[in-house]
Amino acid sequence: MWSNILTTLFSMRFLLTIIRMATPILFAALGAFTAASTGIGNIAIESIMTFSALGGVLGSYLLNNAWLGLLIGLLIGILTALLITFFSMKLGADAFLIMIALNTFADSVAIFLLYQITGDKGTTASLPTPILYTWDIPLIKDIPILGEILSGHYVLTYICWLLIIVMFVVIYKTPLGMRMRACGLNPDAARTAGINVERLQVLSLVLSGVFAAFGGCYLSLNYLKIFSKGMVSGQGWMGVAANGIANGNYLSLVLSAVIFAVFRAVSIIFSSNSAFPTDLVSAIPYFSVFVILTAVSIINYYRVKSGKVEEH
Amino acid sequence: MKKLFAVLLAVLMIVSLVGCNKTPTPTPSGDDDGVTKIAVLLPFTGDQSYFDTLAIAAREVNDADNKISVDVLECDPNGAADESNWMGWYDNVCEGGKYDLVVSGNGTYEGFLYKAAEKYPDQMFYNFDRSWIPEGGIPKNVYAVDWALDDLGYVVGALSAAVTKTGTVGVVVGMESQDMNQFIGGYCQVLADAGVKYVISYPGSFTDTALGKEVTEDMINKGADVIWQVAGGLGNGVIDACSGHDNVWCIGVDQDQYLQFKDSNPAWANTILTSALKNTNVAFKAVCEMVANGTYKDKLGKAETWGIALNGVGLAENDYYLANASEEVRAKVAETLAKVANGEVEVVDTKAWDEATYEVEWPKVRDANRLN
Repeated sequence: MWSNILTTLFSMRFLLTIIRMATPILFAALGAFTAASTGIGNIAIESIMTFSALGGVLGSYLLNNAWLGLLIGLLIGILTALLITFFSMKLGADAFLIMIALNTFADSVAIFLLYQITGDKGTTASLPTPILYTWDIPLIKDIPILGEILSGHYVLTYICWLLIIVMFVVIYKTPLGMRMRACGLNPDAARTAGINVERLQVLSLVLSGVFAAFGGCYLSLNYLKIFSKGMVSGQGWMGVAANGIANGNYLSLVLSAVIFAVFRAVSIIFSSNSAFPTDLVSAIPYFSVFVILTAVSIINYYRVKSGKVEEH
Repeated sequence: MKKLFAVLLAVLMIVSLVGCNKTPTPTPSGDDDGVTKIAVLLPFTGDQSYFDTLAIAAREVNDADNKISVDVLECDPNGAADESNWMGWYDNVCEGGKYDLVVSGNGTYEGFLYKAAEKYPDQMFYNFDRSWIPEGGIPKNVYAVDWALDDLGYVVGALSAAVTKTGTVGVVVGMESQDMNQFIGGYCQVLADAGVKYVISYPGSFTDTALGKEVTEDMINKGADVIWQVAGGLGNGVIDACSGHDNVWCIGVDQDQYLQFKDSNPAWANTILTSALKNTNVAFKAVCEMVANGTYKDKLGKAETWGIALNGVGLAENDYYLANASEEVRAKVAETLAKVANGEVEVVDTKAWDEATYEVEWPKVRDANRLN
């Protein structure tokens, strides 16, 4: 039995599962990171994913085109982000409270809209929806092993990895990214240097909304063919947690998001195995968040103590 | 601006508070107009399960019979199970004897029904899905039913064994609990007897559709070619995964899922061989009839199980099933149905066990021929 588990863990199929499961978490993590780079903790990722997942499907159904549906999903992500900035920056409300409010009512609002539009409170299964496809990369797909790893994924998975590279370049290699990070490190200093902090924060929140929206649309328009109530199921929160672990380090952001996906995939194996108490299966990914966060803070504590890095 | 915002927020809060207290306005009726009035109190509809089934049955009763009028009231859209809210609804429908029968049920909400039954001893109640019996037994103005899910699982297992070509089948159960395992006790039993391997997965969620899809892909990779889903919204992921493989059948749950998806999502519908039905609608309609003709009084104070014999549970025998299940398979299913209905086989029923027995016996049943 354990040998079965080990064979599964090191199989190609398991790797592909991880790639599929990592995509929404990576999108969410990217969203949280982009907002955090200018000093805004975006904890509304989960709700933005929910709204966009629903909006994407409805858009795709109404316009009869999956790409236009995706566009609608992204627009909804942007609008939600703008709503947050409107309340927090224009009206001076606490951004966290707004985001908590969004998360609290996201599922109910989604169900409400779903019911108004489809007459069904569970899924959009009654709407024939065009969906995005998987992509077989010509030439590469014929290479043994490598072709299997690189080719044939959902198209938004490719966009996800592309965006990860693009955002790395933007945040670390361009003047814009430098200014964004300056806002995050010390907004007052940035303001003194003539940077329009508020504008950059709005920009980063909007981008954050776009990435979260990609994550939602991946779930409902690409990976699955419907919106199903509660389908985001904490994947947005895992992205937020990945950002918490990364603490400003881009590589560890991507790594922790992938690790969460690995643990989600591991929970699949354990969910169908008598050797593991099934009550704990669904806790595995979240427990891994807890363990990693603890480990990271212990490491940081000793690094600060030994004087290798300064506390900030 | 801030002040305006504060005022707006205050208004919003007041409105939402008022919203909480909204009370139903059932159409009043005299008792002497010869119409049987029935109130169905559901927390919400749209669960793709028996709340929907009941709401549809209520509509059908209304359309078919002008001697019976059913009002469906959605009392708890968020499923908060707040006692004051529910008792408010009960007060409203029970006071003054407006209704001949008040219907509700489900483990989370039935406590309120039992409470209301105590408070309104002259009102008749019907509990459409009993999870437990209050201390001191079923109140004498309540008829409470549950479903022979153990038998249902047994039949699904027999069907799976007859259909599989790989000799391996699978079931996805939302969460592992004594109640949920009632679905699959008989399933494991019949498959072990038939020498068919089965994969059981408990993903630990009823909503995580993506997880449902991956769990199913894993099962299919292990060779399962008939997969039953007992997992609510997560089950949509199971159906999706099955629809991506040519030689894999999915078995739906609670309602006829082939009919559910036939028009909107043919790819999904065509992977669903049949569905394991919990016919809450059949029992509900029978109860409506009994109330109308006055025989319902005999049922009061009783707890009964609706099984195969009463058509309380069964398989969906739609055209698609008839076209795709071979005669052999159907004969096997008919034989199993008859055997279970006659009580020729003793089906494992986890719900009948006490906790200690469950702890000891369940792993034996579950792991009898389980493929890990």
